[in-house]
Amino acid sequence: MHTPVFRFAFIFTAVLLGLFTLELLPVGQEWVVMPFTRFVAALSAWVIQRFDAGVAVYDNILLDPASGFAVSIEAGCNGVEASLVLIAAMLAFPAGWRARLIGIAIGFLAIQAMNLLRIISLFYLGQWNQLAFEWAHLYLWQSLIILDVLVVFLIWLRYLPRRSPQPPPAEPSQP
Amino acid sequence: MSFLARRSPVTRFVLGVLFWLILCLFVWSALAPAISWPLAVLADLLMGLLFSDQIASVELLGRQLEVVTRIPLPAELLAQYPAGMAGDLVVRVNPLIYSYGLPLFSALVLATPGSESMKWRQWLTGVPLLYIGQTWGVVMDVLKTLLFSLGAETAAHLGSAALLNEAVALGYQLGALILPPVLPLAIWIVMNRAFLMNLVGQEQVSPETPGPDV
Repeated sequence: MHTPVFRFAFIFTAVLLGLFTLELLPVGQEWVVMPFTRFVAALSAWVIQRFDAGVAVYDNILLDPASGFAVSIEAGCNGVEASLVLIAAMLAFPAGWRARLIGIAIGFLAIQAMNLLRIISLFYLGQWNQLAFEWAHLYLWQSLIILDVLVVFLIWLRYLPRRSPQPPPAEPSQP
Repeated sequence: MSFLARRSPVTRFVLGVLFWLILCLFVWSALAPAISWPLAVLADLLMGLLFSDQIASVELLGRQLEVVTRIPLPAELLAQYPAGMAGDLVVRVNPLIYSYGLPLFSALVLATPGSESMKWRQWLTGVPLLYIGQTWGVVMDVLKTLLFSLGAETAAHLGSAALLNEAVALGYQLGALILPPVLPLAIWIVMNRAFLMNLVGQEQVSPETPGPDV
């Protein structure tokens, strides 16, 4: 039967729903999501300022004073949900805790790096063309971020120790 | 050796998905009204079944869904119109924010090695499941708008119990943030476990060994 599949699906769904609910609770929003979102905004601004000194950040808003264009980084734009999906997948897959923790740490950084690229690209895309911004924001980048999760998960699986087939049970000795 | 042949299997697969994803996104965007039609039908059926007192119909209007309610316009909105006018609320929903998983799933299926018939079989099995997830998103979006965006007068038409509010808030976030990206991936993974294990070099697993069969 497909017991391992069901086991994976069950744990994945339970962990994802649990983490997602925690994220949405006021305590999760106040202590994790909002501070983290502000950090993502500040980090995005810091990266942009390396090559575009005019950009400013106020709370979770990135602003280009010259053009007046601003983007607000909201919950849902901070890569947290994608990270939760990855965490749920790695916890649901049978692996050692060391491998899981390393995978989650590196995977989280990979997702956040991709999300940083997303925010910066959207910031400039929005100044160029609003329609392109909407399209990339609502559809293209959403797909790319979840593909990033898949890629990280696949690479993690590739680095997991291979499972060799179980040796067949010993034949009972003949009297 | 070609560029692709020198890449790892995972890289080759991901490049294939990216190629198909761009194509599928354009096709999906161009055919959006047609692609959203089943969603309009499903949302109309479900909302008619569950909220027949509040929802009159769900109609497709170009790329938008229009949810015609039986809820009268709230007083503050009605004040903007000439005296004596009356009308019911219409809620507009962009169905595409719930259906971008369709091109993603299509790209994953197309990039997976296999026969044409296998790809069609997977696609035809997965797409109805994706529509169910999208319907969830649209229904929750409408309920969220009626409960939280249009004032207490409108919310009262749905009962507005605390438990209902919490359930809709969670259901809306789930339908908007989790289901659209995760459902296509999950369906594709379940359908392609052997390929996945082969791709990551975990194929040497005996059937008795629990785990890698995701």
